[in-house]
Amino acid sequence: MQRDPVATGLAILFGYFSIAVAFGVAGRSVGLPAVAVASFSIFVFAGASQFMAVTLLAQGAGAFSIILATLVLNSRHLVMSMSLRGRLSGERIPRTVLAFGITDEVFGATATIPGEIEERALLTTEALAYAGWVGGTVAGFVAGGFLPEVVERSMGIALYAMFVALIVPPVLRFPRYAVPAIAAGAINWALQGVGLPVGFALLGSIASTAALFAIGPKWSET
Amino acid sequence: MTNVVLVIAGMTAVTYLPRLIPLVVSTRRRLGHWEQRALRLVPITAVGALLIPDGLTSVDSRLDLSAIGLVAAIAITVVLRQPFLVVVGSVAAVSLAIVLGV
Repeated sequence: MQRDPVATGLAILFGYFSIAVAFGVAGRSVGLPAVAVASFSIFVFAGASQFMAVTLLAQGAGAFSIILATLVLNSRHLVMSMSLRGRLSGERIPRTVLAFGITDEVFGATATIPGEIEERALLTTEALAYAGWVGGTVAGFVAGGFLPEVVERSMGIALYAMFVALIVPPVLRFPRYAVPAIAAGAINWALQGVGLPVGFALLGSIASTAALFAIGPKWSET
Repeated sequence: MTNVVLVIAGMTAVTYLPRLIPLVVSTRRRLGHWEQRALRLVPITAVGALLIPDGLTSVDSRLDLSAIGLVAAIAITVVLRQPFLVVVGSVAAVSLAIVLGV
């Protein structure tokens, strides 16, 4: 079973657009030129790490530390790609292309429903998500300064509202999914609490909770 | 500006490679049942860990404002199931809360 890739992609497009507007605004506000702000979204295509990079650049951090922090933060995609690998069907679209678009939301939207993932469906969702991300970044840079300050502050919630939209439907269908999800969050919280960098805490909590709940077949049955 | 170019190039590489390597590097061995189950659980644990705790401090590092946004997002998802409306509605709820002086 699959979600309609166009509907899924459009939903992510709109969600990304609003988050990317916030990124465009943030990039402009720290004094980066338009081409740099747009390049982040065109080449990196990873929301949280882009916000982090802009913040660190504004604080005068060096390139090496920003790149290292990004590696740590985005290493979580290793386990997402691993999880997708065995479920992808079709061989016509190069994996090098499909890999570029594996973001948290694209992965969450395509992988939280059981079954095979058709490569064209994945690419469709990715392309729409990418369009929303790049388009929103440019729009945000252009609009920067025009948005009411209240809306700009409130946009911090947008990313997490998307995650809610991704996780609530499968949990309503299979309520037991709530247990590993909340456990992963609790472990992430604890790992960050003992001072682990956010990226390591994410990677560690996602992988360890999945491994723990996989001991018996009970939790992953669908 | 050279610093920014270096940052973008480096970030592009370290973001793309973790997405790419598992898809293209072949492993000879077939995955065991436990490993398959673990990988099936990854989407759900990933979203859980992405939401908690960072979602709770996402607006001005304040729990109350962030919680208003998340509760609004849950309510809109349950009723409408439209991710776009969930995002817009959640941002609107937080904006309203700020305007009302929460």
